[in-house]
This record gives sequence, structure tokens and C-alpha cells, in this order.
Amino acid sequence: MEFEPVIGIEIHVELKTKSKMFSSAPCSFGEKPNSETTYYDLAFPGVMPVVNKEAVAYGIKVITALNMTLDKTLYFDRKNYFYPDLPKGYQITQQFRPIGKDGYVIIYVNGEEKRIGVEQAHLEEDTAKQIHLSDISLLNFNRCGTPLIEIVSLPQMHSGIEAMKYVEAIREIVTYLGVSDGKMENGSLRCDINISLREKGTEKLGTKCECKNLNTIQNIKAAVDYEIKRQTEILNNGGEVEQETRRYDEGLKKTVLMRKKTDAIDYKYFREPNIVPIDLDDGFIYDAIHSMNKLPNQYRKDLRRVGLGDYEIEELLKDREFVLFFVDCLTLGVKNPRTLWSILMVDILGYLNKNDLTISQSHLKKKDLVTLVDLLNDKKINSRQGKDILATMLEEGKSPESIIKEKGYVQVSDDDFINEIVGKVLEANAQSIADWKRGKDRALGYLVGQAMKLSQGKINPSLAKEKILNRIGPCGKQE
Amino acid sequence: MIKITKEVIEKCASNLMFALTPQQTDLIYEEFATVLTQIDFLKSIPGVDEVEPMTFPYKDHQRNMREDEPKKPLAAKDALANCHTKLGNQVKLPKVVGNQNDQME
Repeated sequence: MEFEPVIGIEIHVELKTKSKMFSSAPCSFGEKPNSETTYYDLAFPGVMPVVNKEAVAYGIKVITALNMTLDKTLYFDRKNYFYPDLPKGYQITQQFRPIGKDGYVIIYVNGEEKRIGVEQAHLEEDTAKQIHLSDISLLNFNRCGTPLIEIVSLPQMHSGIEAMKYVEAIREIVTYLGVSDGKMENGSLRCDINISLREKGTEKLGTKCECKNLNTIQNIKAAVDYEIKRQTEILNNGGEVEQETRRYDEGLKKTVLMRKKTDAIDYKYFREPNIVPIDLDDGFIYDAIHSMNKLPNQYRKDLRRVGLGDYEIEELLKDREFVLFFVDCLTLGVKNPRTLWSILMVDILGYLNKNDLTISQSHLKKKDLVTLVDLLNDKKINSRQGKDILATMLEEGKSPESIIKEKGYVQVSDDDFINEIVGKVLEANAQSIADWKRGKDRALGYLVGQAMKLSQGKINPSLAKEKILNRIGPCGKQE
Repeated sequence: MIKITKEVIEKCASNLMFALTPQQTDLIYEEFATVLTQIDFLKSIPGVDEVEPMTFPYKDHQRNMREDEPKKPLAAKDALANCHTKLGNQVKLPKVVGNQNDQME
């Protein structure tokens, strides 16, 4: 029997505010345990929640970016449960009136555009971080109360790659908006994936398994692909998929059982009585929307327009800082965007990774990079000289012009000078010319190399090659 | 309305992740009987069905939200002052679940 996988994803995104969702405690990552709490976070009696305005503004940006309908009145609800990660005994969330509903995200899978529906997004508070050791559990309440937006997709994905691209798209959006650092490895973006199979061509959903603790984008694809395979085998062997919560074990490269789900937990939701509904002011909504950063898909269109291919665009989009740098260089009038891309993504990225720097921490200036790319484009310097100049630019922050002056790096295209060099090279390498005549085509490269060496890298290699060929004629037939 | 039996109470407790002793189950069963009697009394009052449930005392909404300005948090030693079992700066408790990173949400 042929099955169709059906995948829905819930993503919790930690919002990058300075203080918590309902208290004034600071929220940052990696501080000393239990050093970022207030009485509210620890559920001392008599303290009341007050909504963080910036978290709501961030929520509005996400809602807008996900093409959702915004609820202009904020209602909060209590989700009651008994567990050590929330000392109040409940989490404040938006069960009945989420801030956003009915949106979509565009993803690109194998060059095809696909629209994935987003059912809703709601604001809530994070729980305490638990660490489970062999016989004890440890609690750190620093994370307790950190603002979250939970984004719930419709079950409209059908493969591991689609699930991966969806999470990647959400991650891109929240990081480009600047509302979250989106670091899955730090838990700033966490996703739970529901996977089920149904008979192809039917509508009724099969029994789903929830997959948790996916801390890299690559693991999402691996976990979904594994789960599809596991459930297919069960069904093909006449078995039934059981409703379970599973986690992906990176070492074993498979999902493993965490717990079986018998009954859904009853959270006894009711409206949060300590937060009177909040009417969002039109001016506040306008400001939030009109201060949004440009989104990745808008950059995709711009970058395609300047001639970058899909691979180049996707690589560049992985880091917003690089995109902004690239776009600023375009604005400065760089003549060849593809050469710019190549220098930025190969040489500069390599240097930054090696030295553990970001582009803003390096000495590199945009106008200098544009000058360098244009010098290469106009063949005023050759690529070897370009690499040397760039290395000095990165290390010392000097301009290409001053480096060229210091090193005498101007590429010579003067005919008389090149003819003189070529003449000397041919005179000194009779054996190579003989090899060329006997069909050894590598001899040409050797001769051009000798000309470059003799000129100390100053002559234009294409011109040198042309002149050598004029003198030695076509390559002979191999004996 | 569902009939409240001891089995229903045990099932609810399980769904809420509580463990109950038989004595606690008996106590809740008895208390529920009182609560249900009171509810029956309320239902006997004419027109109760037409009253909307009320969460807030007023119909007015607010527009106020807090600026995102962090204030000085509690010192860790104060935050943990009521905690009897600690390990370093963390609250130590018997192991809650079986897996690293497991959590309700």
C-alpha cells in the first residue's frame, strides 16, 4: 500500500526582549543559574503579571511576516499543570484568542515554491530549564517567564525536506526581523513535529507521533525521514502506529520512544483573570509593522534580479549581516555582483571563520571591497594580486589603492612590455615549445606561468597567453 | 453532567499528573459531593443559564503595557532562600522524568 506522510509543526520562538513577558526580570542566555528572577517568576503570592510591550510589538511583526490576521485585542489564558518547571502551577498563554491566525509561509523545495499554511501564533511565557541527571533533577528559573511566540502550522508538509525548509523559513524570518536569535542549539527556537501516515488519496489522518528535542535544522529532516520509514514499516507489516512522544537520538540516527500517549492531558484552560484584555492602539500596531526589517523572500527577489543563482542566494541568506553587507556594496555600485559574492562567501567568510570574527568585527570596509572587486573586474589586477590585497585589507584595514601602491601591484597591459616578457620566456623555454608542438597542451600553462613569474605577477595573464599563442602557433597532435 | 465516581477522580488526577493515595481520593470524592450539591442548588435558581460567565468585573479593556526595561532581579541567594535542597545555584529535586530536556512545554 502506498502512504502519504502528513506533517505539522509547532515552533516555540524565544523573543529577544530585554525583560520577561510578564515581569521586569532581565532575560539573557548563559547567566548564572537563578540569578534572573523576580518574585513573579517564582510565584510569590500577591504579585501580578504586566505585559511586556516590546514582546507584543515583536509578536505583531511575526504575525505580519507570516501573513496572518492580527487580533487587535489581547486576551490571555491560564494553562494549568502541575510540574516543577512552572512554580505558579500554570502557564499564561493565549489558548482561545491567539494574537495571529490564518497565515502562510512560502518555502522553496528543489526550486519549487510551496505555500505552507500557518494556523495560529500565540504569545506565552517560557518555563524553567530543567536538567535531569541520573538520580536528580536541577531547576534554573532564569528562563522561566521569557517571552515566547508559538507558531503552529497546518498539517501541510509531506516530507523531511519540506519540514526542514519550513523550520528554516521560520528561523530566517524571526532572525531577519530581529525578534529572536533563532539559535536552536541554545533552545531559542524549539520545534515539535507531528508525523502521521495515511493511505495515499484519502483524507483521514492517521495516528500521529510527536517528535521533540530537535536541536538542528538537519536533524529535523533526519528525524522526519526516519519516522516516515518507521511508520511505513509498521503499517506494511500489518501493525498499527501508536500515539507516542519520541525524540531524535543523534548518535543512533533514529527516533526513540519517550512516552506513550494514552489520554490528552487536561490543562483546565480558563481566561487569565489578572490581565484585563488589552486593546492594541492603531499607532502602536503601525509603528511595529513599519519598523520591520526586510524579509528573506524580499532579498531573494532583489538578489535574483542582480544575477545571483539559487545556490548563491541561499548561501548568502544564511547570515543577515552578510546580506546587508552585500546589498550595501550593490548600492555603492559594484560592477560585478557575482565576483563580489565569490570574494565575500569564499575568501572573506573563510577568513572570518578561521579567526572567529563577524564581518562587523573585521577591518573590512564596504567601499574598499567594492574597489577591489572593480579592479578585478576591469583586469587592473589579477586574481593572485586580488587575494594578497584582500588579505592585507582584512588584517590591516588598508584601502586597496594604498596596498597596490605599496606592493607595486598594478597589472600591466602594455603591449611592448608584455611582448618583451613573452620573448624572454620563449627564448628560455625551447623544450616547452617543443612539447607544445608535440601535443602536450600543458606546456602553454607553464609558459604563461613563467611570464607571470618574470613580470613579478604584473602582466595580464590573458594577454600574455594570447601573445604566446600567436608566437608558438596551435598545439600539435600527440605522437 | 458526568457522574463523579472515584474512577473519574483517579483518571482526572492522572491527566493532571497527580498521584493520589486512596485516602486522598476518598476525601476529594466527599468534597465533590458537597460541590455538586451546591451546583445543583445554583441551577435551581431561575434564569441562571442566561447569565454570561464573567472573568473581569468591568467590561472596559486596558491599553497599558510595560516598557521593556529590565529591573534588578533577585539575588540568587534570595531567590533560593526558601529552597531546602540545592546543588550550586540550582534547585535540586528528585528526578522528575526519564529523559534529558524533557518538559511539559
